Amino acid sequence: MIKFLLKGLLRDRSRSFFPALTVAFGVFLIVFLGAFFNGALTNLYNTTAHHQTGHVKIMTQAYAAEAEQSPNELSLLELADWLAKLRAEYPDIIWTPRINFGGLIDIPDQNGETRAQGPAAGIAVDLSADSPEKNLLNLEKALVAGRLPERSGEILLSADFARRLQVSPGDTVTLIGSTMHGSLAVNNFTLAGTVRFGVTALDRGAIIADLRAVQTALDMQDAAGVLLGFFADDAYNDQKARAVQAAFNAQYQNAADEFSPVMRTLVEDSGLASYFEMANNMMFIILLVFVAVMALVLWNAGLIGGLRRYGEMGVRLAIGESKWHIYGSLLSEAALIGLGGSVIGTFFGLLLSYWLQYHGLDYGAVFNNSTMMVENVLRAQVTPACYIIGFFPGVLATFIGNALAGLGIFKRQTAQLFKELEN
Amino acid sequence: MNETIIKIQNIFRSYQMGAATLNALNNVTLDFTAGEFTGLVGPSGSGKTTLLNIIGSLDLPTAGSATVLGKKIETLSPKQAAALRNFEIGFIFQTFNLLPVYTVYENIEFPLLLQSQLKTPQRQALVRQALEWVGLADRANSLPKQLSGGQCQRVAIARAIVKKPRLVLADEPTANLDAQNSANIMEIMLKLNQELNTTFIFSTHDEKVIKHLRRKIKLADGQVTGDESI
Repeated sequence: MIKFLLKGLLRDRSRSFFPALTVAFGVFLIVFLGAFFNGALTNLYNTTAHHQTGHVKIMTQAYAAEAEQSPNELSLLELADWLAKLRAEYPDIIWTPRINFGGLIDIPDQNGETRAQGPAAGIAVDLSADSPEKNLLNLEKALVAGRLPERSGEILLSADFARRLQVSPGDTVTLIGSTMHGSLAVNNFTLAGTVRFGVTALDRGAIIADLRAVQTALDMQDAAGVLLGFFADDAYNDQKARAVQAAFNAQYQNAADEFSPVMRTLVEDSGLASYFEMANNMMFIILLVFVAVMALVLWNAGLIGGLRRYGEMGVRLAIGESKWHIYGSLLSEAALIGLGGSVIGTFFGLLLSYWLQYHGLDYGAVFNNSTMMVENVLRAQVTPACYIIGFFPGVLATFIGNALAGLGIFKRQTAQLFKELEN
Repeated sequence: MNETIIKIQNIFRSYQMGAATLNALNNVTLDFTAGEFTGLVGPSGSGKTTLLNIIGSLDLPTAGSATVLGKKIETLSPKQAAALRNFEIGFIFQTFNLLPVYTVYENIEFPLLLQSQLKTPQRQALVRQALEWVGLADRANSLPKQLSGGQCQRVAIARAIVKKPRLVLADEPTANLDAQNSANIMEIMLKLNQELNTTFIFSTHDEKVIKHLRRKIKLADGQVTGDESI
């Protein structure tokens, strides 16, 4: 019977083509939107994790309370001991210290007088050969001019910031800030290179410096503002992060000691939890709207099809096919159309998603004034879920549409069939 | 003597038309035996189609009793009525009503697909046999739109008899055919009636059909006004 129905669907285009096209279009949108959302969220996760929070982050409780100020006077001390301890206790996590600092960049002229100045936000990272930071921050790819720092006293500036200050690799820049003990710190650095991360919030005015140089400059020997932990596969897993957090905090956090360490997860620390929840809810709403709209369209298509096939249904009833059997065959047709449309829609949805995954879309202009840690080039991300996400709404919408349209079969009076089939 | 396969006893069928009641059948009593070639003859509104509906388990009498092939029509559930039509009764309509997207072969095969106990080789054999009966073996793969009216009606006959029903009900089967095609159709049905002992009951007022009948039941205003064997 299925073969029989399939033949009918393939030969009668008006019965299959329009509904399948409608489903394919809807499923295409769902698959593409799903991959786009995935890409955008992963982008947000990765950028935030790599530049700000890690997958988990350790700092003193006092630092955590004022984390937005980057209060280096509340930094974690005995850094080397902490690193050794964490690497032993959590070998699956890559640990790296960072210092976030702010200050004024001063560019002197040949006479040592200020030629240009600008406020800057800096990140001190471990730039030694075996450090993961070059990869996490993607420094080599971000390099626009010059080279990465190789010696103490060398820094990187964001390319846009360097252009504004009119400095280029090899020039001397002065960082005016404060030590962790609150005294003025004035240090000269050599600009090794300029970088562009493609994250507007960073590219506006960022300094990347080696950790040891900044520790010396800000009098923070064996201290760091934060210790970031990254899962080895570089994929954030909230469940895993929470488990590590619970174990760490149970062992080391001491409510009575504000300088005892505390661990935060990416989602907690970045305030992204509500954003992700909203994104998931939006995706669900989009799916619901899609199913409802598609069902309405397909219901109408089914009604029109029902009129066209009025005679056929009458004959089938007369021949002895039960109403439920006819209804079942309509639903079977719906399932076939839904599946066919979903396959086509998924194929084209994946095609566009893969294209966007590899080529990306530059949204830089939109993020001009943004402080969000989002790469300017948004990419879709195709996951295994993208291969199946369209099938549920695709088949369901067709099913609902045909189920509603097919109800008319139960209103047919068999006693009228001879009369109805005369025409 | 052939067995009685249809027993109609004092049946009434009335319809409510607003405040008025229309009596389509009014105390009709009839018997039909196996192998009959019978026509219900009468003008429009005489009750021919209503009687055909009840015999075909498409409608229920308002009062009285109709027993068809051992089944009391008035007691059948819709599902049981559908099963009776599916296995025991063939229908031929005035306007053929073939399924346009299916080939001749597939149109004829369709009633057999509803009988799930039949395997593919059995279905194929039955369809081939039906095609031979109606002389359309060479058009098995044609679509209805590629056939003439007479050929379409022959396909409809093949569809009605492919499951070898004991009873075939035909509503004005020649109304849309010319004289030559009507004669061919009637010859085919007569042959099937004789070879398979299938009972044929026609609703007609077409002389081209009437002249082939062996029994003619006249209806007027829902009542039997004549019943003659020819």
